[in-house]
Amino acid sequence: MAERVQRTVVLAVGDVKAEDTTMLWRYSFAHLLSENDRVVVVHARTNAPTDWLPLNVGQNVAADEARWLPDEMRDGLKSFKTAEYWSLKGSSVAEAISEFRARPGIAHAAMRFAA
Amino acid sequence: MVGSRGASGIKRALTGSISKSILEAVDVAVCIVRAGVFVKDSPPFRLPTASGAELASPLPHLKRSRNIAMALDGSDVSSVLVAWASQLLLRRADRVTLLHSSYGLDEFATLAAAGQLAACAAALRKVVGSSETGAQEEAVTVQRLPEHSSPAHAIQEALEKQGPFDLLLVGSRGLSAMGKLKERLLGSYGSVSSALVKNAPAPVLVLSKGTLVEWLERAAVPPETPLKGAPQAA
Repeated sequence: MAERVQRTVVLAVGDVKAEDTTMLWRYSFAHLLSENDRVVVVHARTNAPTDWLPLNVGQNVAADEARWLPDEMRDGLKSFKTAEYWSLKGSSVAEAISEFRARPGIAHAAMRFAA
Repeated sequence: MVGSRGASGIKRALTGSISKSILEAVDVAVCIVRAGVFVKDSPPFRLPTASGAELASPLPHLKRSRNIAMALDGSDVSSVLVAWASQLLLRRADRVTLLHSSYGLDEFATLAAAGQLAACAAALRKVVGSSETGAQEEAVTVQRLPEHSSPAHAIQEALEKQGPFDLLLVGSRGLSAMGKLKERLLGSYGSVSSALVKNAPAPVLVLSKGTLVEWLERAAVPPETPLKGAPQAA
C-alpha cells in the first residue's frame, strides 16, 4: 500500500453491545487499519442527546460523547494521527454515513476506504 | 467498516439488515464483519507503557502477514478492483489468493477471463511478496474454481477448505430490480457478493462498480484497463 495515501476509514456502529463494538474494533485494528489512516467512528443513536458532535477522540477521550466506547477502543484510537467520533441522533447507520460523507470537506476527501 | 449480527431467515428477508442497507445506500467500499466470523479471543490492543517498551512501534501489527482472498470474475472490473486493492489495501507482507469461477462463461469468455486473471496476478506480484527473498510467486496464487458450481458456492467452499482467511475482497455490480425483488421476497436469491456477505467464513469487503468508478475519477495512477462507464484518462 502506498505510504502517501491517507484513507478515511469509517467504523459504523449503532446501539450495540460493547462486546460487538469491541469485536469490530479488534478486527479493524488487527487487519485493516494503518497508522496514517483517518479513523472516524460514526455512531447512529436513536436517543442521542445531541446532534452531530465531532470530537477528536485522540485528544479528548474523556468526553461524555465518547464515554460509551469500550476503553480498549478509546485507548487504541490514540495511536492514529486523526481519530474522530461523530454521533447522529435519530437516524440509521446508513443515513449517518451518507450525511457524514455529504458534509463540507468530507465529500472531496482524497480517498474513501470503508464505511 | 460495519459489524453484523447476521439476522437470518424470515427476519432478514422482510426487514433486511443494517449492513445490507449500507451496501445499497452508500457508494464506498464496505467491509462487513459478521458476528462469529472474527475470532473473539484475539488479543486486545494495549497502549504503550510508561517504560517506553512499545512506544517505538505503536502499531506493531502492521508488518504481520494477512491472508487475503480476492474473488475475480475476469471481467474489466477485476483489474480495477486489483488496482484499488494495490493502492489502498495491500501490504508487502500479505498473501493473496485469487479465486476465479468461469461458471456460465462460454469458451471465448473463459479464455479472455484467463488472460485478465493472469494480468491481475502479475500486477499483484508487484505489490505483495518480498523481492529480496524472491517470494513474489508464492505470495499470489490463482485458483480456478469448479465450473459446475455457482460462483458464490464455489468461493465459499474454497474459503472453508483453504482458510482461515483474514478478508475476502469481492466486487459487486449490483442486483437488477428483479434480483432485488426476488431477494426480498424469497431471501435466497441475490448476487455473488450478497450471498458471500451472508455466508462467507471471513469478513467481506465489498466494492461496488459505482465505488470503483468514483475511485477511478480520483486515482492518481489509473489502471491499464479502463472500466466501462468510467471517465477515460486524457
